[in-house]
Amino acid sequence: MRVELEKLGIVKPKVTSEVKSEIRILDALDRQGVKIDSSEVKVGAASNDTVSVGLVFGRKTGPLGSAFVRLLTTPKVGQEALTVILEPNLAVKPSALMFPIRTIKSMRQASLFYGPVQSGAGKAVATYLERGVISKMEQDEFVMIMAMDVNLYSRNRRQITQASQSAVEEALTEIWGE
Amino acid sequence: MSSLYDGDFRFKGVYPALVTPFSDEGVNEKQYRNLIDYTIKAGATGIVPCGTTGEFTSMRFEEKVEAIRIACDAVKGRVPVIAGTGAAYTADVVKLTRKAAELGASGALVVTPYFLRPSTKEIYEHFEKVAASTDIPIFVYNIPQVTGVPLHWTVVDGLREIDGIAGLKDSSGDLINLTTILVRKPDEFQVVVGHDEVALPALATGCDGAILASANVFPGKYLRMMTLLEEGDLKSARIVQRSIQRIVRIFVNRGGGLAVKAALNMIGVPVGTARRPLLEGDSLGYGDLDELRICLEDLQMIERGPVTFIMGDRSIVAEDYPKAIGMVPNQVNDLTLLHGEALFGGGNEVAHVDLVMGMRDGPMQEALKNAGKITENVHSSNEIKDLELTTVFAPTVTVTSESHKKMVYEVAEKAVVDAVRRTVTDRIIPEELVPDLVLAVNVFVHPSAANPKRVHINNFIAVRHALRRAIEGRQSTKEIVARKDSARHPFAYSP
Repeated sequence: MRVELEKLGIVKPKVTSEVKSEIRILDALDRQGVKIDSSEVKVGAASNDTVSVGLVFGRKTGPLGSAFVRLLTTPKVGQEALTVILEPNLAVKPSALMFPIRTIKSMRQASLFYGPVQSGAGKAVATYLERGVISKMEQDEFVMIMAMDVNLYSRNRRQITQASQSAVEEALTEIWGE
Repeated sequence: MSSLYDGDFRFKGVYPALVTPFSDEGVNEKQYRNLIDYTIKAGATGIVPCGTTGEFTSMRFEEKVEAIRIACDAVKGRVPVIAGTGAAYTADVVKLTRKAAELGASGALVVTPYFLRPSTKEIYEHFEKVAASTDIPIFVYNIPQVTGVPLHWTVVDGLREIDGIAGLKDSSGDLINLTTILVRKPDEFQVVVGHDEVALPALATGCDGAILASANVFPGKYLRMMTLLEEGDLKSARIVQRSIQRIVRIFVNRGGGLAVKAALNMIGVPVGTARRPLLEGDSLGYGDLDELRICLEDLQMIERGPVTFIMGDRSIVAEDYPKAIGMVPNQVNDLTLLHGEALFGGGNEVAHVDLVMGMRDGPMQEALKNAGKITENVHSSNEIKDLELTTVFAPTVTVTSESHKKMVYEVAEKAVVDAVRRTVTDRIIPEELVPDLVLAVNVFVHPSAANPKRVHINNFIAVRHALRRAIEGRQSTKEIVARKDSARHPFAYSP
């Protein structure tokens, strides 16, 4: 309802603080109770007006594998990690989790994050798969974790999906190149 | 006054509404012949090319002629062919029906003209014209849910008087209309059921036979049902319907030909995929595919074979793994950390499951380490008691009420237990491997979930699917890339 009223100009849109411009994934994971030695993983980060991402890529047998398990089994309230999917029942490879850097406080915000943001992230990884730059070995033996920020009061879902895809693709260049 | 059909043709038994295998050029003749042989060996007493399940509306005229030609030749006189010759306009139907007769079809199945939705009088004249143009018997085909043209029993009263109209195929699923037609029809007017989900009541009320999509896969089931009904054994006939109810629900409601083709491919009868706009992963979702496979396994139609599980320098061979064609790799290369995700069901009882599984001495230790701990602002997890495969249960939602708590810790948790046990008895996780494995299951249960039975069923199914996907590495990279642009996240675009 609020969305529709804002679109009609009847209600002023809520102004919120800007999207975090630089997400340090290893710090974010630290705050989730997971310590990772940066020498064993590869990180990337990118941001635009709507979405910001910090991501880390590493072996299942290394610290990132344990982090993956930890995030799924001890989810932090309001910052629960979920699988990066193109749509339900269609997860991307390598296995990836994403969690919000800001606490989610409502079902609508949850559907924003676990909706257009998730979808865009999924499309970004699928684009890299399509290009053939992620080897079979990397798809099978590695995992990825993403911390993301989005303007939680955004109204245009299509735009958020594109912004999310764009940010994640840019961050992925730090791991696989252009 | 009445001119009942007085020809020789008598519909008996069950005919599959054949899917049409396609190649780049048109009909895939090799696959089509193979399919026809398969259905006849499996008990089909006739065949129907170019019906709804055959995707006739996605075929050019010449392709339909080709399909009918192949069908008439492939049966080698073993069983009759009733050719689907329906179209949106009369001239096309007349042309194709004449061609079918030339090619040796014993009869024609003609759908009510659709899309433009003609009036009753126009429908009547259409059928008069078609019946007058040929000597082969015509079966009127009623499928209002896709044509938009319902045939009320009073209209059928009139149609069955037309010279050359031998019978009716009713795919509406409307038992009220069908029962009325059946109890008032003369014996010579042959009515066959076309809706798999109501096969039992339709046959029990007097249908002469069936033309069904699922008869592509298991025509024998319906023959058995008919025999039991003839013997008066309604109880056993009900058991047969029960054994197929779930799989036919998927066939009927998930893109018709698309779903039947997926099933045929899985059991080793290759028929390719459906033509656009039907798309695997869409009309037929991934959850549906996994369920189709499970139903086929339960019907003992999936071949079992070896799958090797490799952990470093050790390996275990699961000898009797249900290897649905195209879905299962020959080996699982590494058991450090397998990951699977599944969503199943709808409404508030929807189940969403994210799970990881792996060898005990690896990253899965992390799950065991934290199970049972209560930390502020963290959803706690617990190791499930008395489950042979060590499993950590991690609900990812804040419990809001007593009933929600029950839903999570009694209903959903029980569903996880049942699914894990079932996956072992399905022989997907080899028993020898169980002591070495640790599983962690992250589940979501909506605070407003109200129906415990559905919560159980949905979570049971979702966990089974997620476990299979984790082990088999699905969906495959090829599938992910193929769906990259068409995938639609349900929350991506609506407010």
